[in-house]
Amino acid sequence: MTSTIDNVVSTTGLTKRYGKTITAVDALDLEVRRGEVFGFLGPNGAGKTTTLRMLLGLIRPTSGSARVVGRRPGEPAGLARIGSLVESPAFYPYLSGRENLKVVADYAGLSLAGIDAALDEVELLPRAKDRFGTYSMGMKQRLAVAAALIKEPELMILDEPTNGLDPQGVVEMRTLIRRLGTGSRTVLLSSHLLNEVEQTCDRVAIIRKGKLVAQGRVDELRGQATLIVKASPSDAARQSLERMLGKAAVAGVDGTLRLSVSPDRAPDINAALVSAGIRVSELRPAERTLEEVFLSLTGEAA
Amino acid sequence: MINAFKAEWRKLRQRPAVWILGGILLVALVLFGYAFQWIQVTFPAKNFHNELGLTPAQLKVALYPVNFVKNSLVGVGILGGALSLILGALAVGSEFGWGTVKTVYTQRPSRIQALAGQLGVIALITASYSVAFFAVAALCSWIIATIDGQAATWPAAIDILKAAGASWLIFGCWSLLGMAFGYLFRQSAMAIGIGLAYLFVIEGILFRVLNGFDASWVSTVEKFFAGQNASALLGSFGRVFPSPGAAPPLVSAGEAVIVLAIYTAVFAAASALVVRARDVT
Repeated sequence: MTSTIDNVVSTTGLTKRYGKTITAVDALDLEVRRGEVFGFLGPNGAGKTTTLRMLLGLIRPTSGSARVVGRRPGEPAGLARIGSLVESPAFYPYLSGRENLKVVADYAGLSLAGIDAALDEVELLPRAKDRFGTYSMGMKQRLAVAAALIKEPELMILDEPTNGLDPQGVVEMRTLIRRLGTGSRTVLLSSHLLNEVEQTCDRVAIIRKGKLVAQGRVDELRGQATLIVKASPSDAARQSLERMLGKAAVAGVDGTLRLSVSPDRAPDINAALVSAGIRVSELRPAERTLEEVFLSLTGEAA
Repeated sequence: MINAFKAEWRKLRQRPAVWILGGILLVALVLFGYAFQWIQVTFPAKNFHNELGLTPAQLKVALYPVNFVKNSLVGVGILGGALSLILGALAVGSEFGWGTVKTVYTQRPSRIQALAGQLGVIALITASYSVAFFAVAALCSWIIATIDGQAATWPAAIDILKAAGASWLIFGCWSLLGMAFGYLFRQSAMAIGIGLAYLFVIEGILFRVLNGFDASWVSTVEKFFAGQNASALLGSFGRVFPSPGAAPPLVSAGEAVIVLAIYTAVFAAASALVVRARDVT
């Protein structure tokens, strides 16, 4: 198979400009592979929602191109295979949750038979008869997920699905997203919650001011894990470790040594230092968190 | 398009505003078209006076079944146009207010298919307004004839059908103007405000200005305005008691139908253009 077929979403030079001065999305090259949970990160105003709207055909790009589930964005045949939640969930306030899903099913040309199963999956079945206008934010978000699920989509696009939710709602949504990401379904998740993304996503892309600044596996972006060593005397510890691991693998600041080696080697390193008469007060693995990666790439909080 | 029509019908048939607007039309018809008039001519004031010199008993004939088409179209017909304009503006403007436009456009139908479904349902609802309007008018006239012990003589079926068709065209035309404004302004309030301002005020002001020019082209220009043609079409069914000095309609019923049909198509095309071109932000 070609890479285009493997990629459920691919964009090439995707750009959206408003007027002559505002570039919301700037030459974005994005690849989301079949079956993965893909995190799309960026600070507020970075262009995440604009990008997702372009992928859904809601906004036309100024230049560049995109393919989503093998179709141009907004093509009916493609939309039928995509479930989405873009920004806040939007339904008819005077209709019940179930009637709202019937409207969605009618538009998508689907049978109404799967509606109760979708409501059950998001735990809304007991409130299915209640008007959407009476739902809490968490219930509204879950109804939006149910609306996406009734299409049995191969791609789910979720834009900030935990926005506006209380802690309980965030936990429920996190569980739901993990469930959605199982099997062959592809999930494209835009989120501010870096911890969520780190736990849930296989690969991530980070954008800043409309430009892609990083894209890859979460562990690739975090970089190789390291070992942190505190030992005294520190100079002797450093010399001993440089002899053992090579100079390039040892870096030190203020008496703390950072070793660019696999954490699996911790017992050997500890034994070597102790046998050299060096007292080890701390020896632990250290990984950069996605948040640290994000901050270093964007220079701001998500 | 069938899918979009089904979805739109499911939405709008359950929307209270749709039936409240229809209800207002029917209540206005019952009260102003029949109930108040019947009270006035059944229990006339001591100083009762009619401009045409008619007696209360003669005026009562207007309320009987034989005249129900003419009687109901006078006065209340324009209200139906206004309420239809509000219907169209609400059907579209609310989608932007609730953000559901993005929900619709991310399902299967194309934007134009979604619009076509919406147009179909609005046509159906305005048709139901029109049918209900004449059904209620007929019922009121029959009740009054029965109370007065008069035999119920009905207009020719073809006249009733023509009147229902004409009112449907007028209601449909104004509802599509409301829809076009809804898409243009992406909200209900401005669409309704500007639509009603045009319907009740702007065309009138324009005619007053135009009539200041003593030129033959003025009456030619006036023949092409939607409101003027709607009035001419309603007027073509005649009045029960015609005023002797009243000016004849500017255009014939046939011309009015053509002009209103063109306006209806233009309003639908304008909506389609906006729907296709605009980003949903």
